[in-house]
Amino acid sequence: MRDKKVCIIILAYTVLMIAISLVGNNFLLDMVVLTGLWAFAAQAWNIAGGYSGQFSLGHCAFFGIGAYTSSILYCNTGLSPWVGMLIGGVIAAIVAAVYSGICNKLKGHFFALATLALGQIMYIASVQLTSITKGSVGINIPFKPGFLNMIFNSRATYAYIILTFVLLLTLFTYFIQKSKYGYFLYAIRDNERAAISLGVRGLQLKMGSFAVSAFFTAIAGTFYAQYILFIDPDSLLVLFLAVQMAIIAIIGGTGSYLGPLLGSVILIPLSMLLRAKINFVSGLDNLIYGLILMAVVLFLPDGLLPFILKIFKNRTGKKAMEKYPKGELNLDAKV
Amino acid sequence: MKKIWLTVLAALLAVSLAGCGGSNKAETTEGNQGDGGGDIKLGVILPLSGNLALLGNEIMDAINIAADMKNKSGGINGKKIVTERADAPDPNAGSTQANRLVNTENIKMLMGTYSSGIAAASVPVAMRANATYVEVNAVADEITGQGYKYIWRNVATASMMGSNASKFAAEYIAPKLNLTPEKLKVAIIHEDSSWGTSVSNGVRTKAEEYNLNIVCDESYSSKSTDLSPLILKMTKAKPDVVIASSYIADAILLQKQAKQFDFRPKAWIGTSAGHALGDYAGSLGQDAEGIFVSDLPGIVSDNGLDKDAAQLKQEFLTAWKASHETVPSGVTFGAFCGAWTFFNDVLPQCKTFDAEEIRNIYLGLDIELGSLPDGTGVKYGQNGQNERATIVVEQWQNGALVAVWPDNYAAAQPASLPLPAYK
Amino acid sequence: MFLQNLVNGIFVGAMYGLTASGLSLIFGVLNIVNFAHGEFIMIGMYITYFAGALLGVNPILSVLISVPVMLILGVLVERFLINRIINSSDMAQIFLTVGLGLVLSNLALIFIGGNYYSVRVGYATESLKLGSLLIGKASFLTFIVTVITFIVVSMMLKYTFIGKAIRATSQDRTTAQLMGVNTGFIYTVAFGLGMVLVAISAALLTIMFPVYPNIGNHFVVICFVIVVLGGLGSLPGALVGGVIVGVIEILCGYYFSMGWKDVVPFLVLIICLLVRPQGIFGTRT
Repeated sequence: MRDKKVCIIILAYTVLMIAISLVGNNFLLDMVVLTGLWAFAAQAWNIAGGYSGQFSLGHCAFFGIGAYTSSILYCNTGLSPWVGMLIGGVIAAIVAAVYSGICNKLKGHFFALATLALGQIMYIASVQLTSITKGSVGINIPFKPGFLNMIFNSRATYAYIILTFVLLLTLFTYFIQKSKYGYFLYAIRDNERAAISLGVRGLQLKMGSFAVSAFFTAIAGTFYAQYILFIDPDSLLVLFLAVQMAIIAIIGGTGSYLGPLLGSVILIPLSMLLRAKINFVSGLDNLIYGLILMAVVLFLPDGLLPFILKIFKNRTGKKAMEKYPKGELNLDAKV
Repeated sequence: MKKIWLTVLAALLAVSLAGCGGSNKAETTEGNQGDGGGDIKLGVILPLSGNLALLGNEIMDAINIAADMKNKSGGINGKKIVTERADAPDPNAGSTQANRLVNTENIKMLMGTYSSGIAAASVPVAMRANATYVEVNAVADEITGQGYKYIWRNVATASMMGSNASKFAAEYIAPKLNLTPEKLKVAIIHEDSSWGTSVSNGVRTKAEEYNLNIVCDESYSSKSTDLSPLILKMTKAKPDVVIASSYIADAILLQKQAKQFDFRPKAWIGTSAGHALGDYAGSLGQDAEGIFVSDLPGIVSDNGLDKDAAQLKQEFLTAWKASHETVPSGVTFGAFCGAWTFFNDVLPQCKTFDAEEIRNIYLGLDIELGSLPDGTGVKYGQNGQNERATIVVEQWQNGALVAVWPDNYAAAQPASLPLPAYK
Repeated sequence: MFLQNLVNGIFVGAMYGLTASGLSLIFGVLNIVNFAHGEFIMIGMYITYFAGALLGVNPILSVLISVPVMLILGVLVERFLINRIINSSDMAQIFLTVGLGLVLSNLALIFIGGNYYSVRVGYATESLKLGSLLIGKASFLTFIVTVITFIVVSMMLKYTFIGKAIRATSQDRTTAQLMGVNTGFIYTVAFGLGMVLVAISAALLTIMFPVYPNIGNHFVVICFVIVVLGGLGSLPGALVGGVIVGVIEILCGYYFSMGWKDVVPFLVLIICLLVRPQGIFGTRT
């Protein structure tokens, strides 16, 4: 059964890759790339926010660390972003592990607000440390296409890369979810004390999952920098970005590897289309986006995934439902 | 209850989808004709929502007024100019919007961008697609410093804007105060975003050139809720002149808190942005009187304009006043002039509308100073920077911003120097 | 100069405390982080501005208009929105308010426009002289109003029946319910009361700050910090937390760097979380 799911994921990936090679429309490709990027970032967020229950609103900090590390290294020393990406990921993971340790005792809202502080600190630091980050003026990454430079002429190449990233991360989360660690994480999320009393190493697991989550978020940051080719504090380290990662995962459905993918596939094209097409009154696109957000939260507070599964279940009997282990459906159990 | 919400949601989705579908169709028909018959399409990328919405929308209006004026007088060889608005509140959106306009809707002429950060993301996208980009506002020096071939900026750069403030302090204010430039104590303060930082770099460099005595040099966040430490620092440093690069909310707060703590330098020079907006004087009233602003030229004296320019200025102001309460600032004037030059002097000469042809036309332009409504002229360098872009010093006098320096632009004499004590 | 900075810090802190109080109360009772708090402040400021511009009402007196309006708005928002997700996950609650914030700020942009409006009152820029100390009249006024508001609200929470019910609900939802408290009603009351506090703070902010659709962004993050710092839903905590942050921030701005001063609230928050995770006045472990 496990193999079957992996097969489906890989099949979907292959179909998408072929589809991309047929797409000539740049706006559509841009949409694919950004959807992939945010699916990846939300998937990374979900490792902390969805699995171990560490609702972070500070993931923009890790996104920023990734983007800044690889860009600074690339622009100053010519180091390939492929390497810089990993260095940025490791730095982000260390910061994340330490911070998760500091905030270990905090629950729910308090944890969210404490991580929010981390994002803000990184923002101010990146503005003020002008000798390293060039401050708010930002860093222009020169356009020199090449595989080693991780800069490409065609948006399709970016799309292939990010979709491969998404595939790998999705498989990674899938196997984590299936492994004993997945169940440990669910246990911590749902009732930390009980889990610890049963011998689950709560602190280490939480720190570990937060670090892994930060590592992948930083990779998303590098990809963003190499795609847009311009980074500054205002586009990387703002609260909105952290909120966006979380929103995508929540709207899709937390705690499952499919949720963030679903959330991104719906939200990113929606916001792009709204911005592109509802342009006759300034602000109307954001207004509609906000209303849709509110409506989804009001009606499907557990996200879209359980809702879709439910429809699926009604059509095909209970079979589909039973396939999911309980942990996945107990999506946002309140402690 | 749930039904009502569902209905609202459904209606919203329907409206947005209809909106998308509707305009999609329009584009495919028009987009294909692009440079054939029909209309001439121009994409305009600006922050129309978010923190920068105020000036973003004013600039959009100025560009539209220029397009309307040109269309009313017969258009471009009979064709109408149509602007396509693209909201880009942040760099990410700037890149996406530029890509959509250039690569999908096949619009090869863009205009924008007001914010330098957004321009930094949107301009390269256009350049890679060999599209023309007319930059009518963003001032960061980097924009024309990257070796791009098809970027055209009519307004001055951040460093010009900043250095002009220092120049005015050294060449005009110091003698008036009976001081040598070396004796003139200057405080340089700026908000710490991209804009404030690059302008203040210009201020600092020029101030050092003139050997001005810099007694205070501080940055702050434009979202600060309290600036009293900055005011007290300046109180202690006792500068003769304060040169401030601020957005609007912080410019207002600075002035209010300066008065609270009875800090009154002999002169206060703002650099464009916040200090130049009508809302600044509207918020401060009497306290804005006598504040200097180093800015893109706004409403300048008719003496510095030739006859056509003076008439054009009147037409623009009339159109502007029909829909706005405040007078246009220099930034808005810059946008109008940049758009007008493009519509009036560049497009009519175009046959293919491709970037290379437009480049040749732009490089061939030679319009004397004083031929545009803000007193500037046009002569582009190879890097796409207008070398006849100008910065003037204006002053708030009786609630209006008037050009006071240099003399050929001056509509009035500088007054309140040194600034009188607070009443 | 130190004394002057200290006094400034206390005044700024009082302003922070008052601005955060509405958020704190709502957070304490409903256990919801209201990300639309900044937008509610924005609405309050617009009401004060328009009361002044159209009716010539002084900002202080404008609370006579803005308090009832904001109260009604609060009750409606609670009844029709918050109430429906009170048992959902923390994140769902946060994103409902994020969506609401987006809607409100863009409604303001569409219908009022992006202009910066200020009320102009003489005392905004006047000062009292106390020896060498200068005390801004507006700051002093804010301080007085803050103290009075905190005393009145604290008394109300302590001695009135409804106040006791609010505190009971805040301390333990289920038990309060078992004791016969209509928690649904209490939620509405608490949200409404929170909005009254927002209206009062917004009126005072309008004296110093111009209002525009995104003005809430200037205040909302600092409010979060202060609420956590003060402890869950503790009003005295909000005031003390505000003053601590205000004083350190101003001193840092003067003696160290204006650019780094904004990092102070967050560092204080992290240190506080390390030492006393439940907040200064918090009780819950």
